[in-house]
Order: sequence, then structure tokens, then C-alpha cells
Amino acid sequence: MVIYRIPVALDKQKTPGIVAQIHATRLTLADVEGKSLPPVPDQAENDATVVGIDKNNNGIRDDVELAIFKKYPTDKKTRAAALQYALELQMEFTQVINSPTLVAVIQEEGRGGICVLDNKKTNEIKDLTFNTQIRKDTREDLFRKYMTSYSLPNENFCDIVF
Amino acid sequence: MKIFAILFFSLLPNIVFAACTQGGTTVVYINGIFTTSSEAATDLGELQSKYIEKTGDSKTKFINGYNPSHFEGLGDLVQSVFQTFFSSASDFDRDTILMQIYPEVKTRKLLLLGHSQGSFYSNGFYDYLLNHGEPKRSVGVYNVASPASYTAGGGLYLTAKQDTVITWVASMTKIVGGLPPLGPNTDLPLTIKQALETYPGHSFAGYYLQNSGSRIASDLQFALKRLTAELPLDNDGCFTPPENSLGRKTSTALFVVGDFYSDAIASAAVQDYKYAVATVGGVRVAIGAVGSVFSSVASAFVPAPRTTNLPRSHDIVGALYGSSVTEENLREFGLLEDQGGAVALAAQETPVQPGVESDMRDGVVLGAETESPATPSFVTPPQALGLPPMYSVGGGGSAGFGGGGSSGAAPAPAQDDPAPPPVTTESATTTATTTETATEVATSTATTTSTTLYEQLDASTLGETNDVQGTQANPTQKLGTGLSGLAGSVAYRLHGNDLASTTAGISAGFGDVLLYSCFSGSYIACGNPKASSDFHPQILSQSGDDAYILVDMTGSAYSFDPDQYYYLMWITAGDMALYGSAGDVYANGSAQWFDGAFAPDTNISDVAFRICNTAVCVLP
Repeated sequence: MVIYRIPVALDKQKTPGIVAQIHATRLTLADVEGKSLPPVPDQAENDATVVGIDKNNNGIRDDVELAIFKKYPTDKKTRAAALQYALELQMEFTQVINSPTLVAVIQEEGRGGICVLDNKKTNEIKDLTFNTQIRKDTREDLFRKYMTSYSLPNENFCDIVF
Repeated sequence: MKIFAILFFSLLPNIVFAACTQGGTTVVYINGIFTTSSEAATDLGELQSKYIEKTGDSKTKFINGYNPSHFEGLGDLVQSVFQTFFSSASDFDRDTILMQIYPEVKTRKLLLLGHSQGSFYSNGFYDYLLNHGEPKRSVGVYNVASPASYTAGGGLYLTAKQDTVITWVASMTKIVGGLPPLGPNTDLPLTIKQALETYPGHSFAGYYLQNSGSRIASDLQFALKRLTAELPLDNDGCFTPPENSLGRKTSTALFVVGDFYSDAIASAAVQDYKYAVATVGGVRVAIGAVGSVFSSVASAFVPAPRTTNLPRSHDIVGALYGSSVTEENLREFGLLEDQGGAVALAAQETPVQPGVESDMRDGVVLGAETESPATPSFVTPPQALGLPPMYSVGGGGSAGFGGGGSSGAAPAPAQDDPAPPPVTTESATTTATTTETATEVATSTATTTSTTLYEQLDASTLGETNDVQGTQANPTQKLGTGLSGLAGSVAYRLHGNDLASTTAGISAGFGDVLLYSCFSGSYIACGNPKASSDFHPQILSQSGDDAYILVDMTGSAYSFDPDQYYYLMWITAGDMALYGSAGDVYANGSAQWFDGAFAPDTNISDVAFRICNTAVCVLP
């Protein structure tokens, strides 16, 4: 029983820190302005892993980031909301280890979703992010294992306010 | 060891508190059966987004009261039997959800939004809260796609007449004598994409929110405005949470164990029935390991019987929710025993405290046997047709293909006409040519005796309709009632100008053809498709303005029930050549229109068809 308890205890120790990190993650103005846009990734390499490629280390997968810039080249406000939502979606692959961390990510996605405030647009960003079968399966698996009840935030929706 | 670890940690104390304020409002969303976990999250996110977008109210709190699936849906099936036909169910999930949302609910004014099976829980939450001291005017219920026969507290609800699941529930409850769901109160045409979903017209975010988001938002706002906070600030929370008793915790552990084994079943991608039985048997072993503890707490999720198990009751629910698991399967798994098994079919009566109003209803269950799709007696590969010249069709006109004829030339549809008696046709010797469906037997020939089950050779009396499924904008042909025999194929002959000569390059061919049945003595309560085309239909041959199409549906061959009404429906990926001119130039520059909009075309003037009991149907 002790053996089984150890990973649980480790997870419990790590969880508050990860949850705090998830809730502290914010899009920056530099991200919105594309000051360090990544090069176009090799699609095969990008899709070889669930996490994909993030050369500029801003938490947004490069192919998704570039697609958003392409779709919203001039509309900064929409681009910011879309990038924020993409950043939050990507955390499903990088931060979720249990139910509290999944809930934290869902709550952040809730902020981004309201910042976008257009279900069609959010679904487009989801399609960009969960674009391969393994990514879709991984996502479903995470939700199946860790889903529970939670509440969504109802304030401070946008990281960048124009 | 793992099981004991799960049990041990599940029994740890779990104490939470939440202050409750008079100001503010909260919406709790409870998802329905077979909604995946990620879909449940999507539902809530899109609900909040649509609500804020339409009302501008961003202060209302949105909570997901997650309604989990057990035993890969098997547990849900059993619970749905309780809920649909007995009006009551195990309190286990209800209490679990209440305990989970308890620390999140911080306002007196609480609106419970149930979708599908979640409607039973929203109704149940309402009764629980009122039974535990919450003022009636502080709690409201709003249900969407509700299979329940009422909305607790006299709340609003939204059910579309295109909702195939609720339509099916209504049909089945009519047969078994249970309480029918509330009738449809909105008309939300399906897009092609929605029509092709597993449960057309039933998804919360994918259908109801997308098609009627404004109404849902305004209904929510209306319901929230009706609520009043009658009790003062309470530091102990907004309601009395269910007791986290030893029995409840052990039940939790049992579900965890059961779900763990269910995961094993799913991950093994079960092909072998015996393996499935053995694996589910593991659930029983695990549960059995708990021994007498299980017996003492089993009532937490195996309610005391109010009635005995109903014959075929699982099959009813299986039909309702599309499960391929049979009652015999469940019985063999040990999940369908009268008493004391892992999950037994029985219902619990929810106690209602004196002096507290309740909207709970008692169901009367008579029991009935559902129909089972018949197994095809044999499967004959489709053969190309040695088609005779186009049958002379009268009437002409431009009634099109069910999509809204423009002239009054077409006679009254055949909806109330009994089907003609089956006609036995001569043997047909056919040779395969170039169709997709025929390639497997391209060099073979066969002599097949085919029996005509229904035919409509005169387009001037074509049984096409614009009501019922016409709201989906899909072309349909009414077949009436009194049909019998095994439907294995449909041959269509289309007459029109400028038809496409090929569907080469269009992978979806001409979409799909579906056979629907309706239960209510008319075409107003139609369920899921009974049979569908095995392959995307293609043009078999063409001569001038006439095109011949064969729809092979032996893979899901269906035995007609003379008491039911039937219709055929085409679902296509859009305005393809069947409905439009081959010379049409599509906005997307493709040979196919991808936007999901169906556009009937008067280029199709006449349609004749015949339904046969084999894969080969030949029109005269």
C-alpha cells in the first residue's frame, strides 16, 4: 500500500504548484504583435509528438500560432483572443497530470473562450490544436481519466485588453 | 493491491465549506448519457459564451455538474431504464455531483440546467434541495432535450422535433406505457453534418446551442430573473450536501473499480465476446472481494426495488441509446441480475419530506418487447442492372425530389395510404459493371430471386413529403404502413435534365439513403434509422435524361413491421449532381458543395423507386 501511496503523494505535492502555474500563465503583448514569430515548422516533425514544436517558447504551438496570424493579420484584438485561447488549449498537453490540473486548464480555457466570445472561432482554434488523431485521443484520454465537476471564471477574461 | 489502494484513499475524509451569498446567480449544467467528458466541458464553455454574448451578463457563475459514465456506458444504460421508465434512479451519481458542486455554489439563486439524461438529475437536484430546506423560489430548472415527463418547479424546457433520441423515447414510452417526455416545442432544422451524427438533433453544443443559442440564452436569463434569494448569508454553504457516509464512499470505490475494469475492456478493443465476458467478470470478482461491505452499501447505487425487472427493458434502452449490447450480454456479464448483482434493474422511490412540494411523478411500466433488426437471410453482392428503358412516368411537374416542389401537379402524398401488398418479381440475372459497390464481384454473375416489398413506379403519385423530415431539408419518400418482409435494397430511377453522368472523384457519392420508422400511427414520431445504404450510392447507368441508382442496404437489412410507418430519406453532402445540374459551377470551385446546405433542384422532375428483399432490386 505504501508503494502505491508514493506517486499519489508526489502528485499531491506537485499539484498546487502546477495549478498556480497554469493560472499564472498569460499571453504577452509581444506574442500578439508577433515580435518573435517562429519559422514554419516541418509538419511531419511537428505532428510526430503530441506537444509538437514551440521554437519561440511562448507556450503556443508554432503551427497554430502561425495559422492564427495568417487568419487575423490585422485584427489585433481577435488575434490576441485567439492566441490566448490557443495557449490555454496547449496546456492540456503540457500541464495536466490529474483532476485539479485538468480543471485549472479548463478554467483558463474558459477565460480564453469568453475573450474570443464566438463559438465558431473557438472551434476553429480547437481544430487547429487537436489536428491529429493522436492529439485527439490524448485529449479524450485526459478528460476521461480526470474530468470532474468545476466552475468557470466569470471575470478577467482577456489577458490583453485593447 | 491497486483495488485496495483505491478503496483506502476513497474512504479518506472529504470536508469542504462554502459561504453562500444572496447576490449573484449560478447555473449548474448537468450533461447527459454518453456525452464524453470533453464534450461536457465544451458544452459548458460554449453555453457560458453564448449566454454572455446574447445577454451581456458576465457575472452569472457557470458550473459543470459532471455526470460521469460508468462501466463504459453499461451503468448508464441501466440507470436510464430506471429513469425513463421508472421515473426514479439510484441516488449515487446525484449525490456525487451535489458533493462536487457544493463548494463551488456560492449564490442562493441557483438554476439547474439538464441536458438529455442530465434532466433527470436536474429534476432530482431540485427535489433534493427543496427536501433539504432550500426555498422553492431560489431554485429553478431548465432542461434541454429532456427525456423526462416534466420539468421540476414548472421550469421551461427546449426539445426540438428533430431530436431523434427524444422522439424515440416518446415512441418507446408509448409502447411500454411509461410516462412520455415533454413534447417538442421548437423546430430546428438539422444541417447535413448534424444529420449525420450518431444521435441527430440531440447534441447540446453541436445542435441545440448552435441552432438555438439565442433562445437558450434568453430562457436562462428569464429563469434566473424569476429566482429570489430568500435566505440570508450562510457561512456553511448554499445547501446541505449529501452525507459522505461510509456506504457512499465504498460505492464510490466500487464504481472506480468497475470503471477501471471497463477501461480494460475498452482499451482491449474487444473483438472477442468471450474476452469481454471474462473481463466484465473481473468487475464482479472485484466487487465480490468487498464481500459483506458491498452488501451493506449496495443500496446506495442498487436501489431497493419498487418493481421487478422488466423483460426486455434493457433492450428498450439499448434501442434508445444505440447500444449494441444485448440484455443477454448483460445477463451473462452478471450485470443484469434481479437483486444483489453489480447493477440490478430496479428503482428506488425518492422519499419526499412532508410539506415539501415535489414534481416527481410515478411511472407505470407495463413492459414490452422492442423490435430487433432482423439478420439478413443472405447477402447477395450487388450486381449491375440490365436496365430496361425508363418507365413512363406521368405527372411530370417539378416536384423535385422532396425538397419542395414548385407546382401543384403532384397528387397528394401517399402518407395515409396503406402499402400495396408485396409483389413477387421474376428472377433477375445481372452482371457487374463499374460501380463502387460492384467491384468486389466484378466478374461474377448470379441469379437472384428478388421480392418487391414496396414500389412507386409512377412518379405522378410519388410518396414524397415536405413535412416530417422535410424540416431537415432532406428529400424523403413516404412508404405508408402495412409493409412486411426484409428490406435489402432500393432501386431509384431519376428523370431530369442535365444530370451528372458520373460521381467519379466525389468520394461521398450520392451521400446515404436511410430507412426510418415512425411509431405514432403517423409520421410524427420517428426514431433512428432502421437501415442505411452500405455504400455511398452511385449512378449505375444512365440513358439520356434518366439515371439509375441502386442502394444496397443488406448490411443493415431490416424487417418491416406492418404496424409502423416508414419513409426513405436521402442525405447528401450537398447540392450534388443528383439534385443540381452537372453544369453547375460551385462557389468553392469543386464538384461538390461543402457548406452543408441542401439545394433541391427542379432539374430532377420524376423519381421512381422499388424496395426489394435482396441486394438486387430491378425496376421494370
